[in-house]
Amino acid sequence: MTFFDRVLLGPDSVEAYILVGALMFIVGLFCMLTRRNFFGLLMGIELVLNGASLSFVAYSGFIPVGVSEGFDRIEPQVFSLFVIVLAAAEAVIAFALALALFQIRNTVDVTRIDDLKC
Amino acid sequence: MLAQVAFWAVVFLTLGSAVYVTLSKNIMRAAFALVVAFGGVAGLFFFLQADFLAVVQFLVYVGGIVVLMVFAVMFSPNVAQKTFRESSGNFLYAIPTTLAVAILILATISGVLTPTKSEGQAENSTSDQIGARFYRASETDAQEPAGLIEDQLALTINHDHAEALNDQNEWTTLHGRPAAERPETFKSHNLPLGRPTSTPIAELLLSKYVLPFELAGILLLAVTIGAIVLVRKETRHEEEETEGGAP
Repeated sequence: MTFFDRVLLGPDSVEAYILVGALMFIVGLFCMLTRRNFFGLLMGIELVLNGASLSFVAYSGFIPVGVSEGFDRIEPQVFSLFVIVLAAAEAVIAFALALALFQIRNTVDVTRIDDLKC
Repeated sequence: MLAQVAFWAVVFLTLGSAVYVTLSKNIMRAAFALVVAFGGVAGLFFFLQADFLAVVQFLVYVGGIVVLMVFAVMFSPNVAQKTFRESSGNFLYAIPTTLAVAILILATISGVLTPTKSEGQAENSTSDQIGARFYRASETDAQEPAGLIEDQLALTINHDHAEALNDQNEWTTLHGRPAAERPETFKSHNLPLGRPTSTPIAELLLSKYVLPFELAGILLLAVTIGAIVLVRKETRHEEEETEGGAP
Protein backbone atom coordinates (compact mmCIF):
# COMPACT_ATOMS: atom_id res chain seq x y z
CA MET A 1 0.00 0.00 0.00
CA THR A 2 1.29 3.41 -0.90
CA PHE A 3 1.12 6.48 1.27
CA PHE A 4 -2.09 7.82 -0.27
CA ASP A 5 -3.81 4.43 -0.11
CA ARG A 6 -3.20 4.47 3.60
CA VAL A 7 -4.46 8.05 3.90
CA LEU A 8 -7.79 6.83 2.53
CA LEU A 9 -8.11 4.45 5.48
CA GLY A 10 -9.07 7.54 7.45
CA PRO A 11 -9.10 7.50 11.26
CA ASP A 12 -7.23 4.19 11.49
CA SER A 13 -4.04 5.36 9.80
CA VAL A 14 -1.52 7.83 11.12
CA GLU A 15 -0.94 9.08 7.57
CA ALA A 16 -4.35 10.79 7.37
CA TYR A 17 -3.69 12.87 10.50
CA ILE A 18 -0.18 13.75 9.38
CA LEU A 19 -1.46 14.83 5.97
CA VAL A 20 -4.16 17.03 7.55
CA GLY A 21 -1.56 18.61 9.83
CA ALA A 22 0.78 19.23 6.89
CA LEU A 23 -2.00 20.77 4.80
CA MET A 24 -2.96 23.06 7.68
CA PHE A 25 0.68 24.10 7.99
CA ILE A 26 0.85 24.88 4.27
CA VAL A 27 -2.41 26.84 4.24
CA GLY A 28 -1.22 28.84 7.27
CA LEU A 29 2.10 29.54 5.56
CA PHE A 30 0.29 30.86 2.49
CA CYS A 31 -1.88 33.02 4.79
CA MET A 32 1.25 34.43 6.46
CA LEU A 33 2.86 35.24 3.12
CA THR A 34 -0.11 36.93 1.44
CA ARG A 35 -1.92 38.81 4.20
CA ARG A 36 -1.30 42.51 4.57
CA ASN A 37 -3.27 42.96 7.79
CA PHE A 38 -1.46 42.24 11.05
CA PHE A 39 -4.39 40.18 12.36
CA GLY A 40 -4.54 38.14 9.17
CA LEU A 41 -0.86 37.39 9.63
CA LEU A 42 -1.53 36.19 13.17
CA MET A 43 -4.33 33.92 11.99
CA GLY A 44 -1.82 32.32 9.61
CA ILE A 45 0.64 31.81 12.48
CA GLU A 46 -2.06 30.16 14.58
CA LEU A 47 -2.91 27.82 11.70
CA VAL A 48 0.76 26.86 11.32
CA LEU A 49 1.10 26.15 15.05
CA ASN A 50 -2.10 24.10 15.03
CA GLY A 51 -0.90 22.02 12.11
CA ALA A 52 2.38 21.27 13.86
CA SER A 53 0.53 20.46 17.08
CA LEU A 54 -1.78 18.06 15.24
CA SER A 55 1.23 16.26 13.76
CA PHE A 56 2.62 15.80 17.29
CA VAL A 57 -0.62 14.37 18.64
CA ALA A 58 -1.09 12.13 15.59
CA TYR A 59 1.90 10.09 16.71
CA SER A 60 0.41 9.77 20.19
CA GLY A 61 -2.55 7.77 18.89
CA PHE A 62 -0.36 5.22 17.12
CA ILE A 63 2.54 2.97 17.96
CA PRO A 64 5.34 2.13 15.50
CA VAL A 65 5.25 -1.41 14.20
CA GLY A 66 7.86 -3.46 15.98
CA VAL A 67 7.94 -1.25 19.08
CA SER A 68 5.58 -2.17 21.84
CA GLU A 69 7.18 -1.46 25.20
CA GLY A 70 8.81 1.78 26.21
CA PHE A 71 6.88 3.82 23.66
CA ASP A 72 5.26 6.61 25.63
CA ARG A 73 2.16 7.76 23.80
CA ILE A 74 1.47 10.58 26.27
CA GLU A 75 4.73 12.41 25.59
CA PRO A 76 3.65 13.96 22.24
CA GLN A 77 0.59 15.34 24.00
CA VAL A 78 2.83 17.10 26.53
CA PHE A 79 4.79 18.68 23.67
CA SER A 80 1.52 19.77 22.12
CA LEU A 81 0.46 21.28 25.43
CA PHE A 82 3.60 23.41 25.44
CA VAL A 83 2.89 24.44 21.83
CA ILE A 84 -0.54 25.64 22.96
CA VAL A 85 0.99 27.60 25.86
CA LEU A 86 3.54 29.25 23.56
CA ALA A 87 0.85 30.04 20.98
CA ALA A 88 -1.26 31.73 23.63
CA ALA A 89 1.71 33.77 24.89
CA GLU A 90 2.68 34.75 21.35
CA ALA A 91 -0.88 35.76 20.50
CA VAL A 92 -1.21 37.98 23.60
CA ILE A 93 2.07 39.82 22.92
CA ALA A 94 1.24 40.18 19.22
CA PHE A 95 -2.17 41.67 19.92
CA ALA A 96 -0.68 44.06 22.45
CA LEU A 97 1.90 45.10 19.85
CA ALA A 98 -0.82 45.52 17.23
CA LEU A 99 -2.86 47.76 19.52
CA ALA A 100 0.20 49.83 20.52
CA LEU A 101 1.15 50.15 16.86
CA PHE A 102 -2.36 51.22 15.98
CA GLN A 103 -2.26 53.96 18.60
CA ILE A 104 0.97 55.37 17.13
CA ARG A 105 0.63 54.80 13.40
CA ASN A 106 -3.15 54.45 13.00
CA THR A 107 -2.67 51.40 10.78
CA VAL A 108 -2.11 47.66 11.07
CA ASP A 109 -0.95 47.31 7.46
CA VAL A 110 2.37 45.51 7.80
CA THR A 111 3.59 46.68 4.37
CA ARG A 112 3.42 50.32 5.54
CA ILE A 113 5.31 49.76 8.77
CA ASP A 114 8.81 49.82 7.32
CA ASP A 115 10.66 52.39 9.43
CA LEU A 116 13.53 50.01 10.08
CA LYS A 117 14.01 49.23 6.40
CA CYS A 118 17.22 50.73 5.05
CA MET B 1 -18.25 3.25 8.82
CA LEU B 2 -19.71 5.93 11.06
CA ALA B 3 -16.21 6.75 12.26
CA GLN B 4 -15.08 7.13 8.64
CA VAL B 5 -17.91 9.53 7.78
CA ALA B 6 -17.37 11.59 10.95
CA PHE B 7 -13.61 11.68 10.39
CA TRP B 8 -13.80 12.93 6.82
CA ALA B 9 -16.50 15.45 7.75
CA VAL B 10 -14.24 16.86 10.48
CA VAL B 11 -11.24 16.88 8.13
CA PHE B 12 -13.04 18.76 5.36
CA LEU B 13 -14.57 21.20 7.87
CA THR B 14 -11.10 21.88 9.32
CA LEU B 15 -9.26 22.30 6.05
CA GLY B 16 -12.14 24.17 4.42
CA SER B 17 -12.27 26.74 7.19
CA ALA B 18 -8.47 27.02 7.15
CA VAL B 19 -8.65 27.89 3.44
CA TYR B 20 -11.50 30.32 4.15
CA VAL B 21 -9.37 32.04 6.81
CA THR B 22 -6.68 32.50 4.17
CA LEU B 23 -8.90 33.77 1.36
CA SER B 24 -11.71 35.65 3.12
CA LYS B 25 -12.16 39.37 2.52
CA ASN B 26 -13.83 40.01 5.87
CA ILE B 27 -11.81 39.85 9.06
CA MET B 28 -14.73 38.90 11.29
CA ARG B 29 -15.75 36.04 9.01
CA ALA B 30 -12.13 34.89 8.96
CA ALA B 31 -12.08 34.95 12.78
CA PHE B 32 -15.22 32.83 12.99
CA ALA B 33 -13.86 30.42 10.37
CA LEU B 34 -10.82 30.16 12.62
CA VAL B 35 -13.16 29.00 15.42
CA VAL B 36 -14.38 26.18 13.16
CA ALA B 37 -10.81 25.24 12.18
CA PHE B 38 -9.67 25.08 15.82
CA GLY B 39 -12.79 23.12 16.75
CA GLY B 40 -12.06 20.69 13.92
CA VAL B 41 -8.53 20.15 15.23
CA ALA B 42 -10.02 19.51 18.68
CA GLY B 43 -12.29 16.92 17.04
CA LEU B 44 -9.27 15.23 15.47
CA PHE B 45 -7.67 15.18 18.94
CA PHE B 46 -10.75 13.29 20.15
CA PHE B 47 -10.27 10.82 17.29
CA LEU B 48 -6.71 10.31 18.56
CA GLN B 49 -8.01 9.69 22.11
CA ALA B 50 -6.26 12.80 23.40
CA ASP B 51 -9.26 13.96 25.37
CA PHE B 52 -7.51 16.35 27.76
CA LEU B 53 -5.67 18.05 24.92
CA ALA B 54 -8.87 18.41 22.89
CA VAL B 55 -10.59 20.22 25.76
CA VAL B 56 -7.52 22.43 26.34
CA GLN B 57 -7.43 23.20 22.62
CA PHE B 58 -11.05 24.26 22.71
CA LEU B 59 -10.64 26.34 25.88
CA VAL B 60 -7.42 28.12 24.94
CA TYR B 61 -7.88 28.63 21.21
CA VAL B 62 -11.61 29.09 20.80
CA GLY B 63 -12.32 30.54 24.23
CA GLY B 64 -9.13 32.55 24.52
CA ILE B 65 -7.21 33.42 21.39
CA VAL B 66 -10.09 33.92 18.96
CA VAL B 67 -12.10 35.96 21.49
CA LEU B 68 -8.99 38.05 22.14
CA MET B 69 -8.54 38.50 18.40
CA VAL B 70 -12.13 39.61 17.90
CA PHE B 71 -11.79 42.06 20.80
CA ALA B 72 -8.53 43.46 19.40
CA VAL B 73 -10.10 43.89 15.97
CA MET B 74 -13.15 45.62 17.39
CA PHE B 75 -11.06 47.97 19.54
CA SER B 76 -9.19 49.30 16.53
CA PRO B 77 -11.67 51.01 14.17
CA ASN B 78 -11.32 50.92 10.39
CA VAL B 79 -9.13 47.85 10.68
CA ALA B 80 -11.87 45.64 9.36
CA GLN B 81 -12.76 47.77 6.37
CA LYS B 82 -9.62 48.67 4.52
CA THR B 83 -6.51 46.61 4.77
CA PHE B 84 -7.97 43.16 5.22
CA ARG B 85 -9.67 43.23 1.83
CA GLU B 86 -6.51 43.58 -0.17
CA SER B 87 -3.73 41.05 0.08
CA SER B 88 -0.12 42.12 0.04
CA GLY B 89 0.11 41.34 -3.67
CA ASN B 90 3.12 39.18 -3.01
CA PHE B 91 1.66 36.26 -4.96
CA LEU B 92 4.70 36.31 -7.21
CA TYR B 93 6.80 35.22 -4.23
CA ALA B 94 4.15 33.59 -2.07
CA ILE B 95 2.93 30.94 -4.49
CA PRO B 96 6.36 29.51 -5.44
CA THR B 97 7.44 29.57 -1.78
CA THR B 98 4.30 27.79 -0.62
CA LEU B 99 4.54 25.25 -3.44
CA ALA B 100 8.19 24.54 -2.65
CA VAL B 101 7.47 24.04 1.06
CA ALA B 102 4.40 21.94 0.24
CA ILE B 103 6.37 19.64 -2.07
CA LEU B 104 9.14 19.35 0.49
CA ILE B 105 6.78 18.47 3.36
CA LEU B 106 4.57 16.08 1.37
CA ALA B 107 7.56 14.29 -0.17
CA THR B 108 9.16 13.95 3.26
CA ILE B 109 6.13 12.58 5.07
CA SER B 110 5.15 10.22 2.25
CA GLY B 111 8.75 9.03 2.02
CA VAL B 112 9.18 8.58 5.74
CA LEU B 113 5.85 6.87 6.33
CA THR B 114 6.08 4.45 3.40
CA PRO B 115 7.72 1.22 4.58
CA THR B 116 10.68 -0.09 2.67
CA LYS B 117 11.02 -3.74 1.68
CA SER B 118 13.59 -4.57 4.34
CA GLU B 119 10.91 -4.12 6.98
CA GLY B 120 8.70 -6.81 5.52
CA GLN B 121 9.05 -9.11 8.50
CA ALA B 122 7.87 -6.53 10.97
CA GLU B 123 4.83 -5.78 8.84
CA ASN B 124 3.72 -9.39 8.71
CA SER B 125 3.47 -9.52 12.48
CA THR B 126 0.28 -7.48 12.34
CA SER B 127 -1.49 -9.27 9.56
CA ASP B 128 -4.34 -6.84 8.97
CA GLN B 129 -2.05 -3.82 8.80
CA ILE B 130 0.16 -4.76 5.87
CA GLY B 131 2.23 -1.81 4.80
CA ALA B 132 1.71 0.08 8.04
CA ARG B 133 4.51 1.59 10.02
CA PHE B 134 2.13 2.63 12.79
CA TYR B 135 -0.90 0.97 14.25
CA ARG B 136 -3.56 2.21 16.63
CA ALA B 137 -2.47 2.43 20.24
CA SER B 138 -5.76 0.97 21.42
CA GLU B 139 -5.23 -2.21 19.39
CA THR B 140 -2.35 -3.29 21.58
CA ASP B 141 -4.19 -2.61 24.79
CA ALA B 142 -6.83 -5.18 24.01
CA GLN B 143 -4.17 -7.86 24.40
CA GLU B 144 -1.66 -8.42 27.12
CA PRO B 145 1.36 -6.23 26.42
CA ALA B 146 3.76 -9.01 27.31
CA GLY B 147 2.14 -11.36 24.80
CA LEU B 148 2.56 -8.83 22.07
CA ILE B 149 6.24 -8.39 22.77
CA GLU B 150 6.64 -12.13 22.62
CA ASP B 151 4.84 -12.31 19.28
CA GLN B 152 6.91 -9.65 17.69
CA LEU B 153 10.27 -10.64 19.06
CA ALA B 154 9.73 -14.29 18.26
CA LEU B 155 9.63 -13.47 14.58
CA THR B 156 12.98 -11.77 14.50
CA ILE B 157 15.01 -12.91 17.50
CA ASN B 158 15.35 -16.39 18.91
CA HIS B 159 13.02 -17.40 21.69
CA ASP B 160 15.42 -17.42 24.63
CA HIS B 161 16.50 -13.90 23.92
CA ALA B 162 12.88 -12.84 23.66
CA GLU B 163 12.10 -14.33 27.05
CA ALA B 164 15.07 -12.57 28.60
CA LEU B 165 13.87 -9.26 27.18
CA ASN B 166 10.38 -10.02 28.41
CA ASP B 167 11.58 -10.50 31.98
CA GLN B 168 13.54 -7.29 31.74
CA ASN B 169 10.53 -5.36 30.51
CA GLU B 170 8.37 -6.58 33.35
CA TRP B 171 10.70 -5.01 35.88
CA THR B 172 11.84 -1.93 34.05
CA THR B 173 9.42 0.91 34.59
CA LEU B 174 9.22 4.50 33.52
CA HIS B 175 10.90 5.83 36.62
CA GLY B 176 13.10 2.89 37.36
CA ARG B 177 10.92 1.64 40.17
CA PRO B 178 9.86 -1.99 40.14
CA ALA B 179 6.36 -2.58 38.88
CA ALA B 180 5.09 -3.98 42.16
CA GLU B 181 5.70 -0.75 44.05
CA ARG B 182 3.74 1.41 41.69
CA PRO B 183 0.12 2.31 42.31
CA GLU B 184 -2.45 1.15 39.80
CA THR B 185 -2.80 4.49 38.00
CA PHE B 186 0.87 4.55 37.04
CA LYS B 187 0.78 1.09 35.58
CA SER B 188 0.90 1.91 31.88
CA HIS B 189 1.05 4.97 29.70
CA ASN B 190 -0.31 3.09 26.74
CA LEU B 191 -3.84 3.68 27.84
CA PRO B 192 -6.72 1.57 26.68
CA LEU B 193 -9.60 3.15 24.82
CA GLY B 194 -11.69 5.42 27.00
CA ARG B 195 -9.15 5.89 29.79
CA PRO B 196 -8.60 9.62 30.50
CA THR B 197 -5.17 10.97 29.62
CA SER B 198 -5.07 13.73 32.25
CA THR B 199 -3.39 11.60 34.93
CA PRO B 200 -0.34 10.55 32.87
CA ILE B 201 -0.02 14.06 31.42
CA ALA B 202 0.04 15.53 34.92
CA GLU B 203 2.55 12.91 36.03
CA LEU B 204 4.87 13.73 33.10
CA LEU B 205 4.51 17.48 33.64
CA LEU B 206 5.50 17.16 37.27
CA SER B 207 8.34 14.69 36.81
CA LYS B 208 10.14 14.62 33.48
CA TYR B 209 9.00 17.97 32.11
CA VAL B 210 8.92 19.95 35.35
CA LEU B 211 11.54 22.46 34.15
CA PRO B 212 9.70 23.38 30.93
CA PHE B 213 6.54 23.51 33.01
CA GLU B 214 8.05 26.05 35.40
CA LEU B 215 9.54 28.00 32.50
CA ALA B 216 6.12 28.13 30.86
CA GLY B 217 4.75 29.61 34.07
CA ILE B 218 7.47 32.28 34.12
CA LEU B 219 6.84 32.96 30.43
CA LEU B 220 3.13 33.46 31.04
CA LEU B 221 3.87 35.87 33.89
CA ALA B 222 6.27 37.83 31.67
CA VAL B 223 3.67 37.87 28.89
CA THR B 224 1.00 39.18 31.23
CA ILE B 225 3.24 42.01 32.48
CA GLY B 226 4.50 42.72 28.95
CA ALA B 227 0.99 42.97 27.51
CA ILE B 228 -0.06 45.38 30.27
CA VAL B 229 3.03 47.54 29.71
CA LEU B 230 2.60 47.55 25.93
CA VAL B 231 -0.99 48.68 25.81
CA ARG B 232 -0.68 51.27 28.60
CA LYS B 233 -0.83 54.82 27.40
CA GLU B 234 -0.54 57.00 30.52
CA THR B 235 3.14 56.40 31.29
CA ARG B 236 4.28 58.25 28.19
CA HIS B 237 2.25 61.34 29.07
CA GLU B 238 3.56 61.35 32.63
CA GLU B 239 7.15 61.14 31.45
CA GLU B 240 6.64 63.98 29.00
CA GLU B 241 5.03 66.11 31.68
CA THR B 242 7.78 65.55 34.22
CA GLU B 243 10.46 66.22 31.62
CA GLY B 244 8.72 69.40 30.56
CA GLY B 245 7.99 70.57 34.11
CA ALA B 246 11.44 69.90 35.62
CA PRO B 247 13.26 73.05 34.45
